[in-house]
This record gives sequence, structure tokens and C-alpha cells, in this order.
Amino acid sequence: MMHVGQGLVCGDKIQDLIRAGFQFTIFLADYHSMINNKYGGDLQKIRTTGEYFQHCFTALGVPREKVEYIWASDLADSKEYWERVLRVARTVSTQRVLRAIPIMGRDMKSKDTDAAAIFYPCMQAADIFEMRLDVACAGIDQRKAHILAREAGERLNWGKPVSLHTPILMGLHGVPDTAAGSYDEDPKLNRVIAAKMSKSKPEDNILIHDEPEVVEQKIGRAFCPAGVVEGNPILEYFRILVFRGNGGIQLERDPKYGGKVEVETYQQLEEAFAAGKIHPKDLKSNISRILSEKLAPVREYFRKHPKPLEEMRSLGAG
Amino acid sequence: MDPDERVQLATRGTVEIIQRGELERLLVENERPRAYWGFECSGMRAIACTE
Repeated sequence: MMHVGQGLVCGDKIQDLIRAGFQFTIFLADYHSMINNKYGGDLQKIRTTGEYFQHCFTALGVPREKVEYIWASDLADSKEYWERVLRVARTVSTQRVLRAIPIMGRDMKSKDTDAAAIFYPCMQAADIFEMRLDVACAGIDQRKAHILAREAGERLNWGKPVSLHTPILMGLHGVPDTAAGSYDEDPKLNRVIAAKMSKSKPEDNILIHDEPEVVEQKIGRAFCPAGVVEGNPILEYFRILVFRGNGGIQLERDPKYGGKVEVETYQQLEEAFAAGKIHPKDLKSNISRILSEKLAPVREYFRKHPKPLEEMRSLGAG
Repeated sequence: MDPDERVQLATRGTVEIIQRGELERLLVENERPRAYWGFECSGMRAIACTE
């Protein structure tokens, strides 16, 4: 099921780009998912999930007529595509490709990488050129694929795609100390990706389908000690999901504790929280309310179109 | 919408643009550039995206 990280970060960014005049493609990477052993490589289940994603993005405010959906397996249905994959592969060493496989959520020091994984970064680069894209968007954990694509594009005279990277949302319990592995040479980014890859529990993430009570429950148990900014997921949700350059927000509080307060920028919120002027409980109740409001259209959409969600639930873990 | 506004919309909420100058040039030169986001289709998370 889709998390708020994917739903809101990607959904909002896609809407920004459409408004900025981009022709936008949502690429449903069915072959890549198969390579990465999602649902044990079962393409039918993978495609059911891709269909569900289309409904999710529609529900999140990306209208179907404003975006083009392309399946990886359709793009790959040509000789030209595979020629591109091979041409990209000729520009890089095997070692370099292996260093890029953290884009698949795999540890780059793993000793038992299957041969299919070698294709993945090369295909991801080839996809960008085959669709003649100017800009590739993804979470920051995908930067290695994009850098590989830019270098290959330069060597092959295919142009360099601009890469646009969004943050990775941390789980509600913050960054666990147990998060380990080798995903990036940059220790800070490595920690972020390791936290994403560490086995997350369902209650560690808000799903776009969660009812307001569930959002409140999950947020209620989140890591948010008074005055602590570092590693605080609730503050991070405000920074990434709420303050997106649309101006300020109204923080609602019991009149006993100071009442309503206008907060113009994220910086203001962080400073007030660090100084103990905003209580964690107030931070939590407000983010619960804001997220539940943002997700209301999604709940409404799936009440009207329950089938894709029911199908997803029947697939089990993937 | 002028190019500056388009750049502002495209870049807000991002952690990295490679390269910003290229994006600015693109938005001056091209009214309808092409962009994509790729998603692995899995129940737990899409790797080509945040979570």
C-alpha cells in the first residue's frame, strides 16, 4: 500500500511540474520490479500494483489526462530499446554498475548479486533516453542511476538529463540505530537510505488510505521528544509535506496553552519547538489534522473505487 | 508563467538538482519539456521513489 512519502512527496512534485509546463510521464517499471524480485517476480501481481498506483496518483490530484502512463515492458517492446540498453552498458564497467545497485535497495557490498541486477541501472538509463526526457525525477536514493545516465548520455551524444531529487521521508520512529549497510559513499546519505531499507513496521509509516483516527494513533506513537530537532520525524513531515512554499499555517492549540498561532515558515516552527514554545502534543495533533485533510480526497476516491485497493490487499506483501 | 516562476515550482521541496543551471536554461528554451518519475510496482515501497 502506498505510503504518504511516496503519495504526497511524489504526487505534489508531479503536480508542480505539470503546472510548470512539463509533459509528464509516470513510468510503471514492471520489468524492473521483476528483476528486483518483487512478488517473487510475478509480473501479474506487479501489474496489479501498477494499476493501483495509477488510481493512487489520480486520487492524489494528478489527473489522468494530464499525465502519460508508460509500462516498462511496453517501452522495452522494440529492438531500438534494447540497442540503447546495450549502448549504455558499453559505456560503464561492471564494477561501476554494481556500485549503482543500491538504487534497487540492495547493499553494494553484497556478494551474491544475481546477473539480472546488472541490467537494472543500464535499463533505467536507457528508459530516460528512449522516452526522450529532459528531466528525471526521483528520491535522492536514485542519484547513482541518474549520474550514470548523465555520463552515458554525454559519451553517447544523447544529451544529459537534468536530475531532480526529492527527500526521503523518515519513518515515524526516526532513524533507527540498527539501520546499517552500504548504499552510498556519503555517510549522511548512506544513513538515510539505510533507514529506508531497514525493515519498517506498518505502524512506522502512514498510508495514504489511513483514516484520521489511524493517522492520529500512528503519529501519537511517533518519536518527537520536546525541543529535539535532530532526527525528529514530525518536524520533518512539517518541513517536507506542509511547508512547500505556499505560505504559512495556523497551528491550533488549546487556549490554555497559548491558543492558535500563525507560523509563517518552517524555520519559525523549528525555532519555536527547539525553544520549548510548542509542545510535542500540539505538533502531533496539528500534523495529524493537516495530513488527514490532505488525504481526504484519497479516502473519498477509494470509497468510490474500492476494487483496486481490494486487489492490492489480496496480493499480500510484495 | 515566466521561466523564473516555473523554476521555482519545479525546484521547491527538492534536495538536489543536477544541475540547476541546466534546468533554468531548459525552462527558458522549452515551453513543454518532458519529465518522468519511475516507480517499481511493489506493495511496500517503490524504490524509484521515496518509500
